[in-house]
Amino acid sequence: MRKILTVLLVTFLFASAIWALGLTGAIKNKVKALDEKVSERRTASNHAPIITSLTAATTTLYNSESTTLTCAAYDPDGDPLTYTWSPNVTSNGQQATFKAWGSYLPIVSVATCTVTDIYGISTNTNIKIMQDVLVSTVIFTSFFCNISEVKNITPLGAVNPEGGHIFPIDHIYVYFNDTSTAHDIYAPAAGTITYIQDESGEYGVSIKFTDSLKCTIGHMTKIEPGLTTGPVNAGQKLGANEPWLIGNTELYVTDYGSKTNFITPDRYSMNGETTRYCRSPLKYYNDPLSAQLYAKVNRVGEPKDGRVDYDISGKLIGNWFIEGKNINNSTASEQLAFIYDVFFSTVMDISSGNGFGMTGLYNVQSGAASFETVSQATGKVSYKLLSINSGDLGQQKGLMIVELIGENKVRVEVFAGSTESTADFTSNAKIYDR
Amino acid sequence: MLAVVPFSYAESQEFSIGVYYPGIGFKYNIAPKIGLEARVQSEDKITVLGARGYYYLGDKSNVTLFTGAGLHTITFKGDSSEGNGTALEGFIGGEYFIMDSLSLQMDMGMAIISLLDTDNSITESGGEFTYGIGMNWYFGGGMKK
Repeated sequence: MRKILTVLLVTFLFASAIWALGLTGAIKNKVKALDEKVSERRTASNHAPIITSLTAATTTLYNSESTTLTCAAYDPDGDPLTYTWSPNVTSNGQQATFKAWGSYLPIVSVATCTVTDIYGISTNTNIKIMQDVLVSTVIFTSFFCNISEVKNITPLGAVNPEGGHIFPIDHIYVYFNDTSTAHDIYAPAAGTITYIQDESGEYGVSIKFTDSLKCTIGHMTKIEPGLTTGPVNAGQKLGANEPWLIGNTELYVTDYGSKTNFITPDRYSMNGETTRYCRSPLKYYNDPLSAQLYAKVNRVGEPKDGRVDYDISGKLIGNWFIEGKNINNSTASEQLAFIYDVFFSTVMDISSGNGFGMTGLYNVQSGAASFETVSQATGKVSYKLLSINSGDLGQQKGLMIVELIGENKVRVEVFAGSTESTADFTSNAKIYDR
Repeated sequence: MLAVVPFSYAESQEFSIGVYYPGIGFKYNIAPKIGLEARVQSEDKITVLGARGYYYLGDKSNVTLFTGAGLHTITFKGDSSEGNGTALEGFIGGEYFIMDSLSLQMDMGMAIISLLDTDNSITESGGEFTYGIGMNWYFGGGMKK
């Protein structure tokens, strides 16, 4: 009997031992149950980690520079934290390294740090890193036409509302003395022709000098036979302008290192890039060529290069779009500009599309509030719209009333034909922003 | 399957050292039917220190049945919990001498285990079945039949 009991006992013990052997095995079961209770309690009362700061040693990088990012965080419950970073940085716990990739145009990159406690509750925050581009150091060694043939140069910032250019124009124009002969056009520096435009006899040539610097010469009426995309030498003939066909020729320079003052630069993307990154072509010349060119500039006052970016946040001066629009989806009638004249740097101009039944460029009355001084605190301001045409120069063609109703939001109404000094807003008023 | 094979063993041995899963013990037989044992066990960040009392049933032979009780203190660290506790156990088992001074021991019982997570003051208590196996080496005075 004892033997049988012993054998049964041994069998039972070994079988049971697989499940929980020894007192510690039994205790393990209880610890597991206690773990669940503790986890439930902690989950119910757990708080998400708090990120106190995410900083970068520097937030602007050039070329392939790097910067160290540091995330500071704590857990209200005292739980251990883990740090994970967005794929565009090399992580090392609380710190990470962001390396620029040498973009040819300025790019804002976003790095994200996510802090997670041991229960999987996480918090994240972002930091913006600017991969910037320096202004090009390329020197133009040849003007794009013979300087001796140039009558004058209209710098950046002309407007032509009737032609659809409400905002200050991002290229210069060259007018010739002799309008009865053709004038050769040349490459201003060695580079690569990337595009030859042909629009029914009107040609344009785009040249890339570096990844971040290019130019376009337009208003050409002849293209040099055999000219194709590919390398081009400084001074190489590209074609010609015949003034009796197109009265001027034009030169754009797009430098991705250029800094313009537009309130929302992204509103000048795509088609607006030549404006957003425009820079006066004359800045790429050294003396004596530089002095010869500036001497041809048709502008009284400084800067001789003119400008396209008059925007000042909180002030009336600068470019405005009908609320929510941008350079790509707005028409001329949805744009409005309060600027200074391209030829006389102290003369205030209002450039208006056909939004109010009046298309044109207008001067304003003497003593009118300067655009750069008009703010929300100023309240409503009235501008008489004065003709700039020689036939009726200075004659009032209408009245514009404006009122800044936000940091960068303005209410505008035009009374076409009015000769009054002021008026009240009506339901015809329009809202612009930028 | 183990067969029960009779062995003769020294009757004068009063002390034994036991190797159990997962720990060791030192037992002293204070009387022919009574033994006291100090045990240390450790497994997976669980450490158990305690004492057991044995009462041997029937006449001593190469197969000996016993019953007894034990009281242990516990320290532990789980995945989420950490703290201490106690275990009070009652058990029944048998000891089989495969040599004069060497025996196999098996027992089973019920333990009342109380644990406290010290950080959160959360407790867990209740009964758990226990199963033990081990081996004893007797020396110094002998197992008294």
